[in-house]
Amino acid sequence: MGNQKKNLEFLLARVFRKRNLKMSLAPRKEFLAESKKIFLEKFEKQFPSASHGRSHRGLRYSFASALMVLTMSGGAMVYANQANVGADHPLYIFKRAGENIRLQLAPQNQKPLLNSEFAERRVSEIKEIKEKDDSAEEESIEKLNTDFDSQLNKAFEKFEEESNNGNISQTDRSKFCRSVFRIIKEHDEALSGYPGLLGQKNHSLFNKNCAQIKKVQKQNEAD
Amino acid sequence: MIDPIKNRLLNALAEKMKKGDKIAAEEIFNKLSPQIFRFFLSRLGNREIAEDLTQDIFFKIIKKIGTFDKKSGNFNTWFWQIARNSLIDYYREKKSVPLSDFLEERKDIPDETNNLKAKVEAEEILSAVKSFTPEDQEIFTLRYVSDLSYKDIGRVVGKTEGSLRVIIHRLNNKLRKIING
Repeated sequence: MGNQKKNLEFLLARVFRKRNLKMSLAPRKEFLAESKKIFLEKFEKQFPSASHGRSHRGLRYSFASALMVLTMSGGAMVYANQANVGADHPLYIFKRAGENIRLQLAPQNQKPLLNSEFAERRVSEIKEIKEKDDSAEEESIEKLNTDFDSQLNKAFEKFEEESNNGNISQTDRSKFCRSVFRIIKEHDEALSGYPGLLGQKNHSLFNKNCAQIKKVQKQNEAD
Repeated sequence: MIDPIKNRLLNALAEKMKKGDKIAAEEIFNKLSPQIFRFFLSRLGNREIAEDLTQDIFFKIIKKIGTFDKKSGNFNTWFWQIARNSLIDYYREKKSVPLSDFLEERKDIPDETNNLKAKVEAEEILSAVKSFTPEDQEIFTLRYVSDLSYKDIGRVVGKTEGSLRVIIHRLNNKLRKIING
C-alpha cells in the first residue's frame, strides 16, 4: 500500500512536471507567426497555383465528414458517446473520436462549453479507473489527466477569445463558470495533492471571467 | 487527439498539401510546429538554433511533399524522420556541440510561464535527462516533450513498441531515483 501511494505520488508529480516541461519549452508566439508567414510564402512560390482550399469552415466540415466515415462503425460512436463509456471500454476510442467531431462541428461560442464537458468526462473516467483498481495503470491515468488539462486550457482560451468578441451570452457565461468550478472541485477530489491544476494564466482568466460566480458558489458552500 | 485519428487527419492534410492546398499546409504547420520546436529546443538548449531548424524543417517539407506516399507510412512518421535526420546533420556539421550538452545554454529559455516553481521543476527534469545516453534522451524527448505515441517513436527510431515501453519504464525509474535523490 505504501509503495502504491508512493507510485501514485510520483505519477502525479510526473504529470505536473511534464506539463511544466512543455510550457518551459514552448515557442514564442511571434516566432510562430513570422515563421508561418514565411512558410506559406515559400509554399505559394513552390505551388504557384496554390489553392486557398475551401474556407476554414468548409475544410473543417470536410475533415469532420471524413473522420466520421473512418471512425463510425455500426453506430458504435453514437452508442459510446451516449453511454459515456469508461476509458477501459472497447468502444472508448469511438467516444473520443465522437468528441473530436462534435468539437469540429460546434459553433465557435459553444466550444468552451464542450471543452469543459469533455474535461469533466476525463475526471469521471479517472475516478472510475481509480475506483475499480487502486493500482490503476499509470499510463491510463496520465493520458486521461493530460487530456483533461488540454481540454480545460482550450476551454479557457476559447472562452476568453469569444468573450472578447462579445459572442458569449450571460447564460452561457454562468453555465461555463459553474461547470469549471465543479470540475476543479471534482478533479481535486479525484487526484488530491496534484498541484498547479490551472496554471497561472488560466487562474487569472478564471478569476477575471468568473469572479462573480465564484463568489456566489463560495457563499453557497459556506451557507 | 487520439493517435490513429491524428495520423489519419495529418495524412489527409498532407495529401491536400501535395496538391497545392495552402489551407492544408497551414494546418500542418499549426499542428506540428510547436511540437517540433520543443523537440529541437530540448535537444539543443538554444532557442535561436531551435527556431532556425524548425523553420528549415518546414521548408524541407515543401520541397519533399511530392515524394510523400501514404501507402509507405503515415505523414507523422515521415515528418519526424526528416526532423531527426536534420538534427543528425546539424550535429555532424557542428561537431563542437556535443549531443548531451544541450543544457549548457539553457539560460536562454525564457520564463514564459511566469512561474518560477514550474521553471525550476522543468530545469530539474532536463538536468536529470542530461545524464541519459543520447539515444535515451531522444526517446525521452519524443515521448514526453513532443508527445509522440510509442508506435510513431518506434517507426522513427527503428525500435519495437514493446522495447520502447521497457526503455521508457526504465527511464522513468531512473528519473525518479535522480529526482528523489
